[in-house]
Amino acid sequence: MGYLSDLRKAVGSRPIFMVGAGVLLLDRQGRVLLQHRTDSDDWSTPGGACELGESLEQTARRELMEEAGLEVGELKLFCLLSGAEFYYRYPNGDEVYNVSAIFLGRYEGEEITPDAEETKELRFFDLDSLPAIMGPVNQKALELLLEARNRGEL
Amino acid sequence: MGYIEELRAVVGKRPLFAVGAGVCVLDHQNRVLLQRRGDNGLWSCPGGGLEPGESFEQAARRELREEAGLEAGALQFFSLTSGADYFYTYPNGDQVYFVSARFVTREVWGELKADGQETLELRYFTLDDLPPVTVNDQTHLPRLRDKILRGEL
Repeated sequence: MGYLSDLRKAVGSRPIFMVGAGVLLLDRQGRVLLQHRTDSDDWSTPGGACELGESLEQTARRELMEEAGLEVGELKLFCLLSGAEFYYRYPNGDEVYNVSAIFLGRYEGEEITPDAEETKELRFFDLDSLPAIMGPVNQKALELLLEARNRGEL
Repeated sequence: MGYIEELRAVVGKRPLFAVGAGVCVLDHQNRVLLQRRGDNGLWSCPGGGLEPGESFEQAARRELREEAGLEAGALQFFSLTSGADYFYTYPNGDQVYFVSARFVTREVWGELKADGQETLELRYFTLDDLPPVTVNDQTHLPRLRDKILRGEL
């Protein structure tokens, strides 16, 4: 059991903070890695909830391994997302306020080999032709990534 | 009651994430404003926990107002801490893993004022001679000092 599911048992569906981390992984062409979710028909960046005792960077690395089977060298904190716009109500009624650290990493490898259960497909996308993105955290992270790219900061 | 107090009423003392934000206010001599906290007697930057719907920056501004009586101009984010090193047990036994963000500013106005409960005392300290600070500020304040030394502030 994880932190959130344990906490849910005690507090029910009331709003709680969901502390999480995600990774914007860029390949040599500046494309970003997205995964096709099996639980919904859209795409997300690798990421997920922080467990007690993990740092946000450790969460980001663990999720990248679990969801994409990838390890990465340096991760740089890209942005910190928090506030009312990152409220989310799950279909089962559970309410969360996401607090997310989004890290930026570079992928130097040649090809990716998806083998994780949660992921149907992994693909690098050009920032100018992104598919439908899941949820406010992923959407904002990619919006900020695009803005940074347009300012020449990537 | 705030978010954490309401959760505590249900879950007891078990470890929870405590998501918080604070502001390092610098004066013209690069001294930093610290408060002596009512909950554990340690010093820290004015700051505290996020309430649901608040961003880190909104919480930082609210806490600066509530705990020090100050309003701030532009806030610059500079440090985030999380993980096993930031576990803490309060004197009352409540356990937390802090996730903590720090902003820095030189622009403040208002009358510096401790509320006498959450904040026992407010003082500016040089970054080379700090009093006993909270586990979060043991990391944030050296980072702030390094940033000043590099000429980035």
